[in-house]
Amino acid sequence: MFLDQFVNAIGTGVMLGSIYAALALGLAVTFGLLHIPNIAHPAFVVAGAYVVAVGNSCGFDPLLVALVALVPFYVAGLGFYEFYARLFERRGAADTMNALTLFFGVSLVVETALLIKFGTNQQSVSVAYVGQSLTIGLLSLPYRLLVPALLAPVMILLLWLYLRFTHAGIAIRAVAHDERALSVSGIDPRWIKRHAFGIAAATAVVAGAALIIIGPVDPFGGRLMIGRTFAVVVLAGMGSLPGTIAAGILIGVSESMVSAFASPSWAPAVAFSILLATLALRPEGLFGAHR
Amino acid sequence: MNRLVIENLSAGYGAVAVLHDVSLELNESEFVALLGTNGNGKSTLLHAILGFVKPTRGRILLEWDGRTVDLTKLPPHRIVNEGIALVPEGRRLVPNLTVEENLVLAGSCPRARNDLARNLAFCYATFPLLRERRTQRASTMSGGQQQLLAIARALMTSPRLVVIDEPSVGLAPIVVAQVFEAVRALQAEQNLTILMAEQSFFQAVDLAARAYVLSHGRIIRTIDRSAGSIDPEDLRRAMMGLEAA
Repeated sequence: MFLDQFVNAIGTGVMLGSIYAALALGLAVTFGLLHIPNIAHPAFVVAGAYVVAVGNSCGFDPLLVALVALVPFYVAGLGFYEFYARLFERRGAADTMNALTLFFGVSLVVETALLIKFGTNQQSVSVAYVGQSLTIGLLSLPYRLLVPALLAPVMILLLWLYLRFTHAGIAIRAVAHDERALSVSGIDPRWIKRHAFGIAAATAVVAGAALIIIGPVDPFGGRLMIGRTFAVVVLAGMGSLPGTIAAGILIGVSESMVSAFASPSWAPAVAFSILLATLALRPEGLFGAHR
Repeated sequence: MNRLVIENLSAGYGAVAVLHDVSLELNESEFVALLGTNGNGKSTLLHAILGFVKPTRGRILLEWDGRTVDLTKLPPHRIVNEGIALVPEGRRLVPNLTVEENLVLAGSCPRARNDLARNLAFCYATFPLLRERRTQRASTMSGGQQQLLAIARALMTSPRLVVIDEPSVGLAPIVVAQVFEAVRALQAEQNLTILMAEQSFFQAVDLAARAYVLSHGRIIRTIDRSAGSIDPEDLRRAMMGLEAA
């Protein structure tokens, strides 16, 4: 009985953690690489979940809808960055507080837009595999967690390869360190930042698909995720993408252990306890570079 | 004729005027030095050429292949894509990228994208040290090695002319000699067009065919070696601002 509970707590924790990484991936790009604390990212994820729900109500698979919606989300990301850049960066007024305030406002606008269009009712998707589980010995993995959990490693691997091996990817890794070095290299730093922001926004719709496969989503669902997504990015180490999955799983497993063996009401405190403990010992995060 | 012409340029930072009515020109395949002690406007002039400082007056014209472009109207990355490469003071490499990534980053700019493989091979042939260290992070190299990387990065953008800002800053004298030798060899073998700002002026003036002396933001003297030998004492006095302009 104990072993059963233990094994399943681990399994659930790993899956949850992987999903946390998917939710946080866009923030790992905007905050970790561009140093723009996009507090609206969870709201983008919820908007992505709604898009997936609408597509699903027309009979399409959630993942297929997310794939198609990558493009509009990328374009929307370009728009949001441009808005931010025109307001602050080009006047030399870009700082953390301005960015937080602006994107807090953006998240309220996104929430309100969803509220006006869809009301306060929760949205959900119906797919054949929800309700079934994959059973391996003692371990039981419900597909409604397993399928979303597999999205994170795929997304992170693709994005990591993109950053590692493409010209634009190298430029994205460079831009946070020294914009002028990019100008000297003949590359427009604004273009690169806009592009990276677009990619970050595009990950939100895939994360949204993950979120809504797990369970119903309401317009304000993003708020609950803000703390945890920032915790994942900082714990991973700013700018480390593979780190996000490790950090996500660390938080996910700890939470699910606490839920299983102590009390579920303690679970939310876990993310921040781990974060504080880690930062006390390794200020650069688990996988961050020394600065 | 292909050349860069600066006409009556004035520039500064906010209310502080640094350059006053500066005019100079740089012809294709020429090596011109810009001399002056600290705080006389050398870096400001180079930054104005690259678009990092917007001039308050005057024009910077690139006349090349029958086309004339006023660089003062362009942002820095566009100027690089017009064929003007900068080797910045303090090098400004991307510290977390490898040697090769720093080179590829510059080589992937629109101007040079199609020649990336050839430019990279040329840089590695010119600086074998960079090939040996291509997977090393730029920040882990010595100052002299970083300076060579910064020069190689400039070459990756297929430049028409290269602007070098104080390559000797922060380097040991023996390393400075190596860097200057690399610049000289490149200029001689590749016929590169170079504008180099320097304060260690005797070395710089040895390399350059012509030199401008900048003092308090004005060009107070033009030295042309073809017009005869240079009196070092006279040059020193001019550099120190010991004579009326």
